[in-house]
Amino acid sequence: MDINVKVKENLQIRPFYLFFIITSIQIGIGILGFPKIVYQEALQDSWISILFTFFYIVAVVIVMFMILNQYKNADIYGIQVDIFGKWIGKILGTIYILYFGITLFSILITYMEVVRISIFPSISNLALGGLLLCLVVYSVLGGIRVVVGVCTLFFLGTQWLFLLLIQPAMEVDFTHLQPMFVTPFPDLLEGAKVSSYTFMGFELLLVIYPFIKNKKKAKLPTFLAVSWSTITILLLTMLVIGYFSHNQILRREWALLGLFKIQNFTFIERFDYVVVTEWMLVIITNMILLMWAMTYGMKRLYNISQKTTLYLISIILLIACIFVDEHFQIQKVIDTSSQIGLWIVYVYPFFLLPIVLFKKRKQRKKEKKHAK
Amino acid sequence: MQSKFIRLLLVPLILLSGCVPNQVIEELAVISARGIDFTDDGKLEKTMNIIRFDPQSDEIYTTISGVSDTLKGARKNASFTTAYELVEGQMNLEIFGKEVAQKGIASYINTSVRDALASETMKVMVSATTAKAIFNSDSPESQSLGNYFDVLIDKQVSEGSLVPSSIHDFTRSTETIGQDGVMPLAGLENNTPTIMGLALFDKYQYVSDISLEQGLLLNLILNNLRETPMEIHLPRSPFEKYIIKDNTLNKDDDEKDELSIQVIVIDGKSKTDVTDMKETSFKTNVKMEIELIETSELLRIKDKKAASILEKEVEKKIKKQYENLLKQVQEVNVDPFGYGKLYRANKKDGKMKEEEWRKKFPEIKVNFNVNVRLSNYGSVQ
Repeated sequence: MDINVKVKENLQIRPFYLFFIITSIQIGIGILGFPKIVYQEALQDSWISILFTFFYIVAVVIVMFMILNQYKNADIYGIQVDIFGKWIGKILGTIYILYFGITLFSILITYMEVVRISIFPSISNLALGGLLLCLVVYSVLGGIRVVVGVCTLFFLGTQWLFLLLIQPAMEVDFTHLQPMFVTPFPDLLEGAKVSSYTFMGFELLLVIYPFIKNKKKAKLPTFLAVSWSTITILLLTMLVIGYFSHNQILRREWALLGLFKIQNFTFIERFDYVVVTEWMLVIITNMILLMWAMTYGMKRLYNISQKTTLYLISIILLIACIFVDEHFQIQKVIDTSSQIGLWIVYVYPFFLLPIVLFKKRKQRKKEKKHAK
Repeated sequence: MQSKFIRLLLVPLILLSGCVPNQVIEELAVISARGIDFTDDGKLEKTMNIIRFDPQSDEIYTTISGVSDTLKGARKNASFTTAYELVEGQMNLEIFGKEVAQKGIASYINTSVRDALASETMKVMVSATTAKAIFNSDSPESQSLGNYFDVLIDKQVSEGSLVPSSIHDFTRSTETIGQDGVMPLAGLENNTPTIMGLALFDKYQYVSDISLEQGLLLNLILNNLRETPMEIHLPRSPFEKYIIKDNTLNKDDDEKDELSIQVIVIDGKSKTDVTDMKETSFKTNVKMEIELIETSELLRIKDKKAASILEKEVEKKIKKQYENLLKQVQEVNVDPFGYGKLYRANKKDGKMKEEEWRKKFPEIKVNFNVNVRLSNYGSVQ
């Protein structure tokens, strides 16, 4: 396989769309339950933990750019083959694909659980999974440009949801956020660690990078996207902590959904129904992006056509989601995906960078010798 | 090929949406209010005000009840008395009978909050007698009780004279360490359901109640007031000079020692600080801008002095009322103001157990500092 990718002109995307891609994938289903998870570790100082995560992510993104810029037009699948050789490189690439698959699966079943608990208690997983996967298949068939378009549109179409939180924001009790700076440092780090799962997704940069038209301009939208997601998640977490009391946060599975539940409008009494269904737009973009990354990866590594992988994975996911419908099973899948993700997303790039730099320097020396 | 497949994809998309369970409104009995009581032999009795579309009946509202050991059991028993499927998604009101509330309502509230399908904006109330009595009074309001109280409470809350009392407001303040929740107290007046006062809760147990006037003062501490009517009774003697004696009116006015005034609180704010952590003393500043709209006797506010006397007297009176209210809640050891949460927030480690505050609360000292400004007194002097 080629290390560098030749992308046709008509498939390239403008750098600013990276902003939509990365925010879309970072903000997903996890955010509904996230405030509780970080609050368990860092209490009212959760915001410090989130800021820690943010700075760490900025470091990871810088490292990713450094790796990618060593090549002319390569993605992670190609880079790994270049560095570790054909066999190990392909195995590592497959691990990436599997990781995307587990993440996709965890998003799918978590959303189905939310729907089952808050709207239709008796709906079958097969029907709901089938509906969602039909949409995913449909969008991914359209190719990369459709995927990016969907991200952009759905990003713009979902931001208004946060306006609904004005009412609880007015009722925030500031004593819940006091006293500040009392959580010990190890707990804050633990909080930052558990936050990592929610922020995952920006590793997609390693796959989508070759499709960016003007690579010099790719950095700004990426950092903007990471900041945007951080600000959103930070504000939502502080809102949940400020609104609910200590015991309530610990007891609620989806605290953020609870905030939407207290809305009351004359024209719609139960706004949480609208929010849960609207949240489908949020998770569909996640699923589409991950699905595209998987099919594209299979094509790069094994030369299997993207359509074949797409149908195959969809069928596997559909069958798998019938069997995973209990809360604790779902939690287990989420935990596995966050464990793998922690290593792949947050640790691995730091290992990869020195190896890439070393190899490139050797190559350059060789070329110089040849030139002489 | 591609477009053919996409068309094929649309078929399951349409067919699968049929798998979503549906509910036909003509087959449903929508519970709009429910009441919980104990029967004489200690079982739970659930009274429900339901909406159903029965072509045989003129009324869309009706009331049914069921008895069992658990709530869901009582609902099941009640469902034998109606041909419709009972659904809870549109519940507006829950009334706890006095005995039930005194015993503790934690499990009932918890059931409602746990059930994601149930609404969290429904109102919760305590009945001064039994819940059943309020549901079954023969006034027209009782017919559609859920809707009646829902609208009534919403109106009072937006006016500012009632503390917000949705289930999420109640659980939020109850679950906060160092604060207790309150609920409106429902009762019957001339056989019409009405709000009679506020019920004080020690966590999930109903212990005592306060009057609606005191509830307004409590609301001033918890929330900001805006254009809220308020009645104040002042001693008559300082205004002797300014009262216009009209002999055509009641002659025994002179013998009264009280002067009642009706004001509108245009803007009411409060701020509480901890002044001393060791002695658990607090300072609460209350700021009110009022507009005088009615006096029980003809009162002439002819100069600045008269206005300032009025302001002073109102300040004195409200300060006194706050002190009495505090004494009253300290006696039953319930902290609806939330001084405890302020105390916790000012502690160094921010940790406090509920019991710790229960021990401290009867001893706390609060310095109420009321500041009244009379901004407007109508078109006559």
